[in-house]
Amino acid sequence: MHQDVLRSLPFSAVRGMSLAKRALICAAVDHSIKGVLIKGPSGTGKSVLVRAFAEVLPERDVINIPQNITDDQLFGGLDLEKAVSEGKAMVSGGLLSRTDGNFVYLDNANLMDGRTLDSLMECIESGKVILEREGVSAEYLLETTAIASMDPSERDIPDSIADRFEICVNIIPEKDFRERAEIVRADMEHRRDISAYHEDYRESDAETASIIKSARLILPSVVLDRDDVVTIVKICRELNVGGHRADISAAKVSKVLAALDGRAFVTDTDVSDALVLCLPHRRTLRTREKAEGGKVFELIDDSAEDIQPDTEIVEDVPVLVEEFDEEAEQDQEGAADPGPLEPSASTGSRYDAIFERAKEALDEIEELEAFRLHEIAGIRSKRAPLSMRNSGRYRGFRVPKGKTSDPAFDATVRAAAPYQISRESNGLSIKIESQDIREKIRVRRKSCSFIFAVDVSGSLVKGGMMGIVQNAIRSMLMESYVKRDRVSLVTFRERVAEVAVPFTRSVEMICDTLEQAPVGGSTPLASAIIVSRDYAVNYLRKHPGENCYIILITDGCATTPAFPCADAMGEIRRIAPVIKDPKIEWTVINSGGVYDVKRKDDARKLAEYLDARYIDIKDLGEY
Amino acid sequence: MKVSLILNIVDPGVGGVLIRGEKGTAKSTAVRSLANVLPDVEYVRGCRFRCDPSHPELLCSECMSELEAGKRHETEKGPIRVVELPLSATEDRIAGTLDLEHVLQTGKKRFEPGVLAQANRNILYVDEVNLLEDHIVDLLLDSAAMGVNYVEREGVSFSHPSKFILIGSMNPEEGELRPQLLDRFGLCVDVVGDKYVTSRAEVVMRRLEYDSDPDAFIEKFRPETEALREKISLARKRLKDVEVSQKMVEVASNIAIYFKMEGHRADITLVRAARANAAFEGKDSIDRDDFRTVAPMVLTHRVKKKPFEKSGLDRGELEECIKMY
Repeated sequence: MHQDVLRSLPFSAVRGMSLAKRALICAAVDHSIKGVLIKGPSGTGKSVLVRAFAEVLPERDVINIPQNITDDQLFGGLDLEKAVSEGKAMVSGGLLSRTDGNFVYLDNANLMDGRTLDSLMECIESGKVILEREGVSAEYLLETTAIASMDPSERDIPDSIADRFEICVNIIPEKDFRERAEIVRADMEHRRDISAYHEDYRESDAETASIIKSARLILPSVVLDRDDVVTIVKICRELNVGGHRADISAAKVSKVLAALDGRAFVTDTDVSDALVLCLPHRRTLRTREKAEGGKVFELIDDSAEDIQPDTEIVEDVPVLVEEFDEEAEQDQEGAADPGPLEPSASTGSRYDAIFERAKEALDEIEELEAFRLHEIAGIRSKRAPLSMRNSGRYRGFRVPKGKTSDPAFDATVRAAAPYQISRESNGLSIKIESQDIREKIRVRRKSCSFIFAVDVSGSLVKGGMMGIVQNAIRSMLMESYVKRDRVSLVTFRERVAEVAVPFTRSVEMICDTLEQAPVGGSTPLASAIIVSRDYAVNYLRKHPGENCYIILITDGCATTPAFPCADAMGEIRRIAPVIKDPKIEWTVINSGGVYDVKRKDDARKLAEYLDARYIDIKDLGEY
Repeated sequence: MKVSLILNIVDPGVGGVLIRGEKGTAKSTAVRSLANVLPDVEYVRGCRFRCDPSHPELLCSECMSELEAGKRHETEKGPIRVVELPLSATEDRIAGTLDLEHVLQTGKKRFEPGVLAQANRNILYVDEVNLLEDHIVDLLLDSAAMGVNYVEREGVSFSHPSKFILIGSMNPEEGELRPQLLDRFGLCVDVVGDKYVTSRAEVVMRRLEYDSDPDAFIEKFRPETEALREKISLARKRLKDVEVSQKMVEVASNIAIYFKMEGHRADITLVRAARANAAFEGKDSIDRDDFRTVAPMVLTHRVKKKPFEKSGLDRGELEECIKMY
């Protein structure tokens, strides 16, 4: 611990990030706050803050959970040494068992294996770890809080997991140069003399620690009255936040904020501040769409900025309150005696004020976030499939079918362990028999390959379509650029379709080639389809387990057949069923029809023949 | 490219270099030759991680327990090494893993250190870093960021210091690097093949000379190499005394804001690199010229370009920005 402390900055020396600091302090005060998620761009000091936080925590540590952890290591498994020496199947707790009563820190939580993260959060939330593996089953209690940090531009975590975090803070990059210069200064001073620097901040860190301690004492006596709870519930509903977690978190956090301020009652500011901490990650697109689908509130249009809550909402309130009742009883021990269900007049105006304040702050967070993500292009996560070859990350183990070339040593030894006492040792300490052997399950992130087949024939050059097509490809490639997928380019004109750029990860090469490609002439659409398909099949032969996407960008008007025959379109119809392959997915982007309406159907027909997804180029948007 | 490497040796806090260039532009050659000019460092004798005895707070757990047991560390000196990370390396070889032999013989678990352990206080060189598998990259990022390698796998949990200078090289034709990893590299240089006939010819001549008699060639350049080694060593000692004025720090922040840097790594690296540069040039304080030298290396890979533009750093704008404030 001592080492880690000196590596980090003192908590009070970390500049800015006041919201994130506050969130962490809240979690330190109330141990029933089980998760804090910190989102922010790389290099904004997320991990620095968390590591510094360890220092002001009274009696608690922050334990780092590495990204490459296996389930065995995290949750626990068979105790190897005991099993070997005593032949007993005993459970040894994993890293998680050591975090009981402490904090765990997940850096780059979004890059962690999704399943592991989900079960980890499940355990933390339920306060219990249940183990069922290798013939041992165990259960242990766990009281810990997770702090996770991530850069959403790389990959976001699923909403269902994000929802398990009580609090979420978005770190906004500092724009003021003086403040930035101060940060550089602080870094320099810290590096110059680590111990002296820590000495300088010892007092203010101690102060933070004592604030946390006294808030803990006050917290049990803080009263959150019914009006406040009603207000929270209403606002959560109004902002289209689904589930009860949001309401409960906001209620908890309001109380903590009051306690931190040394009060036993909750003010409006506490409530609105709590909402700002608890809702950002819960206002997801999904819940918004659901709401827009029209069940509860059609009144709120999130795209518009300052919508006032309508009077109709107030009429809906009693119903909501009734739904909430049970929850309120269970979760708010401090809640006052059941007051009138109808909100009083004063509550109404109070509510408006809190609502306004919370919504304004949340909208700002959302806008900044959206703006930033827009700047670095849209990102979607992809699923990690099981890998066939001996590469990828070791995720777990299984009993192999036949011989294995990739044994999981730890699991094998564990499987053999309980029998050691009864087996002949032959001079070895551990005797392994064939039935003990386990092999590794490896997971690797699947990469996709795209083939762009672009029509550069005469019909396309008309009306400046080329520029639009290039933009369309770019906008589609934006994603592969981020995801490191492989792309290749097939161009076709006159009588030839050819692979202009073989598979590459460099998007620039595709764009350069496309820019320089000669244009004009007739459209050998059938040849293009055959060439792309052959190329894809060849590629897939070398890369089993991958999928290939062929994106045909054309107006769909075939003029030159691949083989001598009269009807170029008819030819495509005939070859289409022959070239189907489950691993190849086709997409047709109609680049025609923008200026020439009667040609629009050709591309649609083409898509039908090929069983392809059909997209009109106009729908792709421009970059 | 040479400057970027030297700056890192002068101040490891600069945070590594990414060398981008086409094949055959001497990326690896430069990094490997670095070994000849690396200064000596002091370390604990027999320590698997080459711990630094002068920083007790950064010792590995083994040295720490020895120290607590009242043992004084014997030290020895040796040059910083260049540790290469092979592309095909698996996670367990990098992070370290269970010592299988030990388990089978004694039935007890023991940690077998990997590449990250060797790399502590050394240079970790990754050729073709863009072709490295994602999960390996994540692993490197983790330890590069924290200076500690936490191992939690296959029944071992262990942590040891792993503070290294990360040098990566890549050929952009073969694909880009994830943006997150880019930001972690302190500096980035683009290497291009020489365009002038005479200097290209000189390159060929030198190579031929080296091939025919490597020893003589090395001998020929020895004085130069020694001088550089001396200069680097001196710069390392001077580093702490180089003055950084408030004004200069603000210049750095201004540059960062102008080029829309989100994180603070750019500002911090600007100042650190400028200071290393000043120390290397024998100056007492940093000035705008230092920024002129280091800013392109700090910013090239961080400037947000629209994915299909050529690199977005405008030298003219940079000059304006340095002068302006």
